[in-house]
Amino acid sequence: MPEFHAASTTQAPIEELWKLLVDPTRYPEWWAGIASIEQPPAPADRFTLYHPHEPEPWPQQIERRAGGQVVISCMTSAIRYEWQLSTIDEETRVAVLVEIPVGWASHLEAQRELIQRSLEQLTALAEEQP
Amino acid sequence: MDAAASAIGAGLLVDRRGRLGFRHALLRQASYDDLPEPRRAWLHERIAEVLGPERAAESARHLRLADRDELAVEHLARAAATARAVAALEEAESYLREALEIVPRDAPLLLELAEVHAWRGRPQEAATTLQRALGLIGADDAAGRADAHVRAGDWLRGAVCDPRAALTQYRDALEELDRAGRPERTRRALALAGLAWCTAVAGDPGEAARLVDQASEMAGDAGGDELFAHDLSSARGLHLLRGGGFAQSVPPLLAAAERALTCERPDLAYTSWINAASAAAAASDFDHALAIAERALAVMRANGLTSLQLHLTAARAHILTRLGRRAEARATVEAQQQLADRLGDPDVAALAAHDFGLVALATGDPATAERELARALAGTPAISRPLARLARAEALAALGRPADAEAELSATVREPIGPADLPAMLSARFARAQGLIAAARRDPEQARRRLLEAAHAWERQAGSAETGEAWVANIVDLGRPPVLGLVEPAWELDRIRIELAGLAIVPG
Repeated sequence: MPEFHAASTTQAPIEELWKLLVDPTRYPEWWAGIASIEQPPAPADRFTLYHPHEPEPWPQQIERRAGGQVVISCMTSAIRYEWQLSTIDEETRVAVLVEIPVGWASHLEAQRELIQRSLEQLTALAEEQP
Repeated sequence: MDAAASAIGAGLLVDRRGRLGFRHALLRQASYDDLPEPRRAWLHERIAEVLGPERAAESARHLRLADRDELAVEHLARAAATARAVAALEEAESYLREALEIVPRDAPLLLELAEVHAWRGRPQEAATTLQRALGLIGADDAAGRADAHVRAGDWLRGAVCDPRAALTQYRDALEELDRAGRPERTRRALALAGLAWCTAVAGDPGEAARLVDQASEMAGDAGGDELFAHDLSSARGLHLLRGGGFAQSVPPLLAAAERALTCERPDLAYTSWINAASAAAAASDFDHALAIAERALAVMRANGLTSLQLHLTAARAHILTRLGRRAEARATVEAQQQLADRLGDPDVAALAAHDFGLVALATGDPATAERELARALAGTPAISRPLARLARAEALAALGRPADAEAELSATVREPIGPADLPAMLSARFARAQGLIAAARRDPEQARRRLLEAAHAWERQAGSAETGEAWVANIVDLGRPPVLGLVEPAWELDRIRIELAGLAIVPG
């Protein structure tokens, strides 16, 4: 299965990154490619995201939130995002593993670019927090 | 009479207010031992006949002494049922164990024992005993196996409060009937009603509504069954609750509780009552919530259902804090600690410590709050660990220990998060805790920024339809409705506004 890793470090405390990762309502603020999200009356581990200029909903499943890790998979494309926070030498490291099903392999480069931008926006937003 | 008078005259017997007895216990024992064994056995059996089923425990003892164990079993089972009816669960278990020593492969007795384990707050033993019973019921006895599964489902969602496990049992019941190709409409209706209830709590809401309709259509003879009516009424109430219709859910839940009482199922009545109390609280009708909790407590107390009393006591304590009746809330949660001590289970003790900590925090006692929440977090109770850590952080901040409070926030990040932890509200709660810590560090500007961050997060959540889903997540994941963890965005916002107003902002 095609996959890629990306990572970034920041001076922002791990708690600031964590608040942004565990709360899907904040994703449009930093996750490139997400214009808005909905949390319909469904279990708390589900949400729906919308891309800019596209009306189609993309339901998502939060598979896991534990130990500074948040794992999200798209229920349509099965693209899987494994975000991991850790503290290294008083900096916070944000790493992400993205797994793309073979049938969606053509999206690999676009996803790589979106995730790189998302990392930059995530760390910048965390650094802005009070 | 002449013989008795002669024995009295000889000093062997005495007349104590019209009752004859041996003058001395040793004399009695010697006389008993002197009886030839066949004669002794015959006498014991005759005594058992005279005592009859109304004094089942004594009859059983005499039958065993008469070496008629096979006759004693029925009396022991009856004695167990009598003991259960008066909430003497320990005695009930003792009789059933004795009966099973005689007939260890008796599936109905094992089912009874499994249910008693469940009522005594021992789910693991209940599960093990259930498996023993199922192992003894023949594979071709679909009706027997289905009945066992339905019964297990009933106590799993009642006494044990594990709707997921109960759902599995009801599905197993239906599979048994399907496998045997038996219509068994009444049995199916009962299993479907139980399944509808569990699905209303732990499954797809649309599916729950469909199951209620299906059970109603199949009712037949079950339609007059109070337990069946309870299941449907309760499922309707839970379905409304899950959709956020808290006030509307209360009447069907209360109706379900009364039906459960009618069929002598206080454990099922508990489930409806605690959900009704929590729903009333969620609808801000705390007086009604308190009345419901107190009625339920009285019934659980009368039936010796200590573990269910424990949860209701916590609910009562929380409702009293929301009514501003702090001293009563404190006394109530201390009573909960005593119940936990009686149960003697470390996880239950940790759960009670958690509840105590939350009430202490709400009633302005941060020292007790941080101590009790630390006890809870050191154990493995069914609580929301992230929320418990945030509460402890708040208590530590109030005690002027900001560094320790920050350590709790760091620990929160490492905790697993599930639906019952209300993840959408976590960042709001986290930000508020950060604000309180900043205030403890005498940094009002930082405190203000964090509290505003929390307020914005709560504003994003106001009117969230997740509230109903968070509700059932508590029941499914933690085995208790979230009376102590009600999601009240408006109330949270008001609290933050008061805290903001209380900050001493030094003009810069």
